[in-house]
Amino acid sequence: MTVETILIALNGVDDKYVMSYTPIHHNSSFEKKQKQSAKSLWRWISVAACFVLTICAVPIAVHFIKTNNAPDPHWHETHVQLTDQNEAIAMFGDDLLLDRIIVPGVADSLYQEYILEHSGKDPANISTWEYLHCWLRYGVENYYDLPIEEVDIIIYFSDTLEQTRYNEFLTYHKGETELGSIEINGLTVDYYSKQETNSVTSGAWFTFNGLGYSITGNNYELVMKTVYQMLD
Amino acid sequence: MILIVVLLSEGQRQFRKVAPKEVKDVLDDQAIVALYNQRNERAIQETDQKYGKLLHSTSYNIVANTLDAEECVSDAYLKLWNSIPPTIPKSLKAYALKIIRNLSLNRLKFDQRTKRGDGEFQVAFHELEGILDDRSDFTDALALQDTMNRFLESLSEEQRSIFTGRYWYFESIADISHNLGIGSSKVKMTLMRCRETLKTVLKKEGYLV
Repeated sequence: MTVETILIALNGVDDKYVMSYTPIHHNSSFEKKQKQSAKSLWRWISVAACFVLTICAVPIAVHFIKTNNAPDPHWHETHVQLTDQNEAIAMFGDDLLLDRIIVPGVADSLYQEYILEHSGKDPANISTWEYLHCWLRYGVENYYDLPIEEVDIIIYFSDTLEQTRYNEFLTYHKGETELGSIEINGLTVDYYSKQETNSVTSGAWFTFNGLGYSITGNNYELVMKTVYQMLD
Repeated sequence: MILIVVLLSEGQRQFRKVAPKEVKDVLDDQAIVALYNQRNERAIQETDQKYGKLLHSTSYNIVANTLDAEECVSDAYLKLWNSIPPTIPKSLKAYALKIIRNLSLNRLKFDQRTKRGDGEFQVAFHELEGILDDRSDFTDALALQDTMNRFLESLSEEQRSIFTGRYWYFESIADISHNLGIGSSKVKMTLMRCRETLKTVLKKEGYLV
């Protein structure tokens, strides 16, 4: 006796036994397969569309990334870059408080960078200067072992041809969340703290001799210490 | 990219909206059989409307191929047309199901069954293989049919439904458990007990050595 024999014999059983089970045929394998094949058809269309989009998008994205990362060939026509404090003082003058920004005893090493942005018309003339960015990174030698302490000092020049940057400085800092103000040698310094993506940025700002100073960093004490160092 | 997937899904939804299901009045079995008796070709259309999907899915469970199943359904309609009259089935549904099941089983040759691996039929087939042996000689098909009737009668209503669902309709364990609203483990256990009972019955009646 084989299974075939049984299956054929089952075909001849009474109708009532056949009717004893009512398959829900819309849930049957057949319909499921049909639905699945329809679903998978749409899935494949989606995958194909995404593939085509990727093929098109990747070169465009690469183009833009490359473009954005490409060095500006005219950058040096509008910028001056230095990495030495003495050179910076010599070049930008000793009345920008640059000689006072070092905070001794915080770290053994300090990486510093000074970038002046000017209009490009006459770099020797201070009225063409837009702003001077002094970037200080403490503890650079222990980059992977210690948290980096950074202080950004941006000096905006009000006596410029267009004053665009200086006005931006004033507008920007008016909207800051101010923690309060302090008086240092008769100068009002506003300081604030704001939550950014993963960290809190501390900052202080003041105006001095027609210049706008913005000092920010990830360490509130270091920021305030720098401010005191510069004004005290 | 997400936008494209959303748009495609929306398109799929819109496509479905464009093709709504037609709702027609469905004749009862007696009326359809009457159409067969009148040699009215509408009988085929009505049968297809009422039982087309059921016949198709039953066939598909066996042949595991959409085209084969479609051909079996067409053959079944032809057979219905040729056999009614003179046959007047008590239940058109059961009659049509028996025809489609028979045609679908015939479509499969024995050696092809084991090669095909994409259907519930093969699984059910191997389940039954476990209780049978090929040593015994089989002669009386009608007697075996009676035995199967008695065996099914001896089962409880639930057991019978499960057994029929599995070995008559070749539905999957999951479908049976879903249809009957019981757990799949209970379906498996019931099927195992039914097979054991069938084995005992077949041995007792001398079909198995």
